[in-house]
Order: sequence, then C-alpha cells, then structure tokens
Amino acid sequence: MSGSGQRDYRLDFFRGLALFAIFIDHIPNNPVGSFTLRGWALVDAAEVFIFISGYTAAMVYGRRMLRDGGLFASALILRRAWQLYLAHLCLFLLYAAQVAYTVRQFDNPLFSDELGIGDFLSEPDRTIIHVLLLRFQPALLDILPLYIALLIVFPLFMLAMRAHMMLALVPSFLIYVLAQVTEVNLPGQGATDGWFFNPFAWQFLFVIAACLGFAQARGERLTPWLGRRRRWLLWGAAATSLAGCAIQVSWSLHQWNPRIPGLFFQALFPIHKSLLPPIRLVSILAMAVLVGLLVRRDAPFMTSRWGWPVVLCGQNSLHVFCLGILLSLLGNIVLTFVNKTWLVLLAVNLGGVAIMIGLGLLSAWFDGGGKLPARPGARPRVQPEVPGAAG
Amino acid sequence: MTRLLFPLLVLLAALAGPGRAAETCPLPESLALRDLSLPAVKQAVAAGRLTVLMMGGAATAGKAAGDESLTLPARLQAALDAALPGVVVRVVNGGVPRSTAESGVQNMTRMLAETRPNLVIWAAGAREAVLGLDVDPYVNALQLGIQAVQRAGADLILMDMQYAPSITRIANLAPFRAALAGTASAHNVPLLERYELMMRWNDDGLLNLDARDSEERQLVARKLFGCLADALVGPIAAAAR
Repeated sequence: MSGSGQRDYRLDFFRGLALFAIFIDHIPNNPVGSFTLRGWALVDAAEVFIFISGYTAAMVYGRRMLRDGGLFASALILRRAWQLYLAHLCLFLLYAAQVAYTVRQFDNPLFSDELGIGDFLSEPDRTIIHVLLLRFQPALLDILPLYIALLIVFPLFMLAMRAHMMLALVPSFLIYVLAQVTEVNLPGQGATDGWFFNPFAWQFLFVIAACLGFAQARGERLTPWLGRRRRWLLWGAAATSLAGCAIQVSWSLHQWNPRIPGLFFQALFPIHKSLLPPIRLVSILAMAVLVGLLVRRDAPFMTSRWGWPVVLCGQNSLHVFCLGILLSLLGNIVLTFVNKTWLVLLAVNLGGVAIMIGLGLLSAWFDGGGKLPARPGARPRVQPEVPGAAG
Repeated sequence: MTRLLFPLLVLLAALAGPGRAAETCPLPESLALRDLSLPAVKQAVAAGRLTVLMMGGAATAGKAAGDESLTLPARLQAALDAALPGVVVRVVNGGVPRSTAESGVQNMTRMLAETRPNLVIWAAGAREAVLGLDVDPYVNALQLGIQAVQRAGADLILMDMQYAPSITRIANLAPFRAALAGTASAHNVPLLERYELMMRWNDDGLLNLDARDSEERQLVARKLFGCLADALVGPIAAAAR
C-alpha cells in the first residue's frame, strides 16, 4: 500500500476489531458474543468489515487507477478476487473435515433424520460443484463469497466513479432498491435459497464506502463541503447510534429476561440481515460518520502499545480473517469437549484473539523484511532529564 | 458415569416391562411452562373432546423410539388420557422427517383443515440450521404458521430444537433459537425450551444423548419422549381446568 501522506489508522484499527468480533461471534453459544458490536448496536462486524473493505479497496486501487490506468487497476482487483476465492476453498476444506469427523456421532436416529447432517457429504458431485460456484455457503463461510462477488464487479464501479461519483452511486442505489423490493438474489444450494449476504443489497454499502475512499485517493477533501453541515451530521449520527444502541441493549436484556420490555420489539424484531434493510444501512453509516468526525486518523489510542497490534491485524485482514474462521471452528470443538465454565470461555476467546494478533505481527514482520514496522506514535526515547532541572 | 448408566437403564427397562422405560425427568422451575392461557383447549375439554396436532420433524415423527406407541405424540396422548379422565383425547402425529419451517407451514395448513385441532404443538428450526439456511425466511414461516393456527381457532405451543452435546459442531442453532424465542415472545406464544431441558437432562446423567450403542439409543429416545410428554401434560391439563 503506497500511501500519500499519513496513513488512516482508523481503517486498520476498526477492521482489526471487526475481525476479532467475527471470530468471537462465529463460536456458537458464545456468551462473549453478546458484548461485541452486535450486542449494543443494530449492526454487527459484517457491516463494519464491508464498509472498511469498500473504502480501502477504492483508496488503494483508485490510486493505482489514477497512476497506472484502468486496465491495470482492474486486473489487480480481479487478482485479489481470485486470492479470496482460493482462501474460501481452503476454508471449506477445513469446515468439511470438521463436519465429516462429527457426522459419525450423529448417526443416532434421534438426530439423523431430524437434521440430515452430512447430506452434503453424501452427494459430493453436487456439493463440490456448488462449493466451486459459491452456491454452498455454510454459516461460517458466507462473508468471503460476498466480498468476492463485490470485487468482481468492482472495476465497473471504479470506472464509473472515475467519470463521476453519481454514475456509480445512482445505479448502485437503484439496484439496492430493486433488491429490497423484489428480493432478487444469487442462487444458493437449493432451488429457493439465495446467498445469506444478498450481494445486490450489500453492494450499496460497499459502493458508498468506495466513493469516500476514491475521493480520498484523489486527494479530495470533504471538509470544505461539510462546513456548517458538519454539526447537523454529527448530531444526527449521534442520535441514530444512541437510539440503535438503546433498542439493541433492551432486546438483549429482553431475551435474557422476558420481563424486561424490548423497545419496539413487536414492530421491529427481528431485523433481517440478508437484505441489509435501511435501518441497518443507516446505523452503519451513522457509526461511520461518528468515527470519521470524532476520531482523528492517527488518534494516539490506535498507535498506542495496546492499539497497535489491532492495527497490524487490520492491515493483514485476509490472513487474519481466515485464521479467525478456523479458530472459531477449533474453539467450538474445544468448548464441546470441556466443561463450559467462564474461565474456559474466556480462555478460548482471549486465546483466539491472541493467536490472531500473533498472525498479524507475523505478517507485518514478513512485510517489513524481517522487522516489525515501527509504531508511529512511539516517540524516540527522550534523554533522561538532568536531575534537579525539573524542580 | 455413562458406562454405569447403560446397564442401569437396561435393568430399569426390564423391570418396567417391554417398551416402557421408567422415566421421570425432573423439570427445572425456570424451564417449566407456567400459567398457560389455552382458551380453545379449555373449551374443548369442557365439551369432552380434545384434539392435539403435533407438527415438527423426525423427533416428532419418532422413528427413533422404534415403536409407534412410544413416540412423543403417543406418549402425550397417554399422559393426557390419564390427566383428563372423561375427555376423549386424540393426539395427531404430524411430524415429517427433514421438514423445514417453510415446508412445515404448507403441511400445517392442510393438517389444520383435516384434523381441526384445539391445540397445535409445533417444533421447527433444526433442519434449516444444519443446512446453513437464512434465519429470515425461517421467521417468516414461523409468523405464517402462528397466523394459520390463530385463524383455525386453535391454541399454540412452540417447541425449540433438540440438544446434543456436540450439536454446535455441525449446526449453529443459536440464531434460530434466538429467532424462535423472539418470535414466540413477540406473538405471546408459549415456548417449551426443549434444548435447555435436554441439556440439563444430559448433563445430569439422566439421558445419554451421545450414546453409541443402538439399543441404548433407542432406550434414550423412548425415555426422552416420555419426559417431554410429562413436561407438556401438566401445564396443558392445568390450563384446561
């Protein structure tokens, strides 16, 4: 990533946090998952991940496009999509191994007929083709296909953006509306199933973020346009996020104890995720506005001793993401074998995050040619002051 | 523990006679259905004729028990007969293996018209979790089913999925259980938390849900169905009075 000027660590830091949340949320029945973003906002790590990915992709490939032309940038994007595809296939292999191992335990008639587990293993011809076509997406493996699909069409959006932002935003919005109304989707494994993350809906979030990232790549600044609107935007975003937080927290409490009322529960529950309904879209954009306006791009907490490893994870998101999915599988296996005490739960969650940080450090070490990149916030050690001078 | 349990179960089964394992599973306070309001059941019982329709997958169909008379619907019928003397009780087994909530709703519309039940007990959600399907159509199907039962003038009890110690390794039930609990609560429909109950019974050593031996598995299934029938019959009978 060749950066002009100073790097925006918010992208890395919050993507790093989203990766941890994706790991934690993917462990079934994990109480720690109630404390990640989804426990106190109407969105979860998926929205954060897609928003930041769109922003980063447009920023990085936008610069390449401005420097090396549209063809080369498009080729780079498609190469990236290919890498993600291979990563997805590797993850499927791990998932299938795990299920194949477990299926034996479930040939118990009490469960086997009910669940039909391993159906996909008994029909390998159909399954393998569905995996290759990204039609088979077990619960853990649904976000990479979305990202791949988005990247495949991304060159078109980039070329449109280069001509005019509206040429990308307007069609993207219309496709989003179409998806909301008709629920059009890419085909899933069955005749009637579609993708869990409906790409026709989710592309809008990706493109909105990409427009912002592309403006950044061009060196355009939003600040002059914002001017006096800044304050309204900030208040609007804060109010939206607070309302979302109140609703989600009340729901979590309601599900924990039904006597506590859930705010707007009857009207809103459940907020679907597949179609990225407007309530989710507005919530994630509000959070992005809050972070964008309130957190400086090099805010010290991100480059502090504790924040820096998160940044490094975010900078190597593909590797860390794949490892996170693998760790969710392993963590779950551990939890089904041992007694689920709080201590074990914490150990699994913290251990997983620690391993992900380890991979983030390792990747950064490789990129640095055997050295970890220096922490930008770390001031060079000040010479000890002469005793007495302070007095 | 489990090694001790199996011979013990066989012994108990032998003592209790063929196909009739001794089964009493304690029902934790927090998981028991309480203060159900079942107006249609009350009316039917007063009129001396109660029809219950059980909808769900293979666990409702009950092949695992190895005998028609030992399935959950059959056990519930026997328990209701005993609890409601003088009432003609009919429990219809509407379980179809591998059914999703969506296919269940279609089935249910037909069964509602055919059997005209006063009470529907509906278990749904395991199949879609294993297939890794989306929660949204599941919730839509639940809502449709709830409306269909209401239109038919029957009462409804929902039941969540079966538990097994290693089930989380192949299916993430959590989002489906949460969606089911939320939908039940939003529509004021009582929910029997079968998952939690089975987890307790398994962890307390009452049911070995990880059993490998096919005979033991059958005994466990029989015992489970008896225990679930017990968990259902008390609250239903209480609401009928």
